Amino acid sequence: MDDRRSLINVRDVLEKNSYTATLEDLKSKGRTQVRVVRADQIAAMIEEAVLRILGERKSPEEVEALVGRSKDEFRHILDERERELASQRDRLGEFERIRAEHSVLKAENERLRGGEAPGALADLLGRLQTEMVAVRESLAGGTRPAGAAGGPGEEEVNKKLDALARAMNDRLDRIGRKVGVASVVEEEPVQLGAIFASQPELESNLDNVEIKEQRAGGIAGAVERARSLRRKEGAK
Amino acid sequence: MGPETAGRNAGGTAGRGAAAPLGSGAAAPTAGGKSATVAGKGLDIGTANLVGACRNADGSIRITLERNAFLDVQADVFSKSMLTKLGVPYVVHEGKLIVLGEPAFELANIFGRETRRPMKGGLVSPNEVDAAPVMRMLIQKILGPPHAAGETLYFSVPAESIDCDNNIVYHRGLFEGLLSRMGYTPHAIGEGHSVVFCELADKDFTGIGMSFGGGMVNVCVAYKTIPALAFSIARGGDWIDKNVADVLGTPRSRATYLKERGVDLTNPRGREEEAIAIYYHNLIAYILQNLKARFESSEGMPTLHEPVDIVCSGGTALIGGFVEVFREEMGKLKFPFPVGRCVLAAEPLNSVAKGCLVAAAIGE
Repeated sequence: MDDRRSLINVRDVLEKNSYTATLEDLKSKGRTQVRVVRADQIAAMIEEAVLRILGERKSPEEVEALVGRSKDEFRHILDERERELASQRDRLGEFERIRAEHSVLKAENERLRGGEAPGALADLLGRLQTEMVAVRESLAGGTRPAGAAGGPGEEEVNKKLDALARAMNDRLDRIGRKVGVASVVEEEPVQLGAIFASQPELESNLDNVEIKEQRAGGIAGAVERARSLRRKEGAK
Repeated sequence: MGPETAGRNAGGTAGRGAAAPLGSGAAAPTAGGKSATVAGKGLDIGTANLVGACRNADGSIRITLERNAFLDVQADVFSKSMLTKLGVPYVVHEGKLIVLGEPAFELANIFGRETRRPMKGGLVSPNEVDAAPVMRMLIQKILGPPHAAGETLYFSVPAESIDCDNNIVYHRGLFEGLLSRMGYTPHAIGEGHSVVFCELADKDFTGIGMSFGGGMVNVCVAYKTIPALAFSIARGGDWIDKNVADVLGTPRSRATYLKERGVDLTNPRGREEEAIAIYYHNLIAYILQNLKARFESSEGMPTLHEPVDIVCSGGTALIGGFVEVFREEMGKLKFPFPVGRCVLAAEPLNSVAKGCLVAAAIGE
């Protein structure tokens, strides 16, 4: 009995298919009295009516089997809906992320434009912006019916999203390297000692000229503090 | 929370307060003889100045500073002899007599010429063919030989610029090569990061270090010694000099001289000082706007709940009223983190070199 009740959440259905009206609204429509019925009572009435009809036509075993099949079917549809919703949420999340990245790049573009921006960057951002609009339109118009398989439209949107994400990631990585937050592995420093190897010793008077020196405040405190911090971090 | 009002030498760090023999933290010439030094050196390779730092055995710091500039003059026996008598360093390169450092700047002003600069915009100048040999001589002069082969040396490198494409790899590789050939084991450290090492010990090396140099401004946001954000702006003292020179119709070295003779940005007097103040305001506003934008747009930034101190260093920050203008421009922006003190480093010109030295001492 509990299982059957869980098949249809009458309260939920009522909430979704009804609206709330204030007493003032009702009064303004000339209603002074309303009939009140509880959701539980409606559920009990529906259940009783369904079972009565089924009981007249089917044996108790058949009714039980029918309820079981209905329950399975309902769960199957529910699972599908949930998967579909999760997929939509993922795509929406990805879209929002790309939109946020786009805002960052747009700001960067505007800033660079203000200070002799290279035309190539402006062009790149312009292209990305156009692609964003196309993707947004695809997403807005591409809502497919429940349970339907992904069609060529979805593939197209996914391809565009992938391409856009790659282009933006590349650009963000370049910006990241500039601000020191890049995830990429830094390349090995170039060894340029040979430039100096080819230089002969130059004639100079440096050995005969006094180097001006100053004395400055010590760094012992800073060094000790850094070592202490390192020990603490190491102990954690 | 807005920036705190702090004095020019306020906000002493553990580093500053611990072993400063001069009390106020200000640098002063040594009285003659050299004392024994401890292994490990720091080197600030700046567009305008080269600064070396090493530790004396008594805990004090020895600073050697030279202007990163040169001037070629007629090479003859008389000139060589005269320069040596005057204590002016020179090298002979391809038949030319090249005067190095501060005297080159002074001579250029006297004769109305422009100094030649081995570096431009924070990096080795691509247009200066004599840059490599001149820088080698200048660095040899301020660092001297290593204590022993392979002595650890930390040298400053700029972060990548956000407003121009510059080749940090070549710059870094060039100096690694040079310092290796001199017998050191070189390690590069970000310029802004080294300011954090020097100035923010009392904040557990958490805060923002800014180095206002000649060629660029370097910014580093660090959290417990780790740099979370580092970038540079390809504008600095030279940018101010160029613009001031352009509007006043004078040589750049004249603009530099005007700037360094003692201007107060909060009270500019006359057309020349007004021009300097305008460009300072502009430069500081530009940097702060970029810092705000970087902070808001970068991923992986630490969440800073406690007020963050900002320390300004570098030769360009030495001008009178710099911190006041900095605070004024800061007040115009809303930062995504609480701002604590906004102070000038105790020794703005030495901060980067001393930060490199701290890194060398702890083997960062």
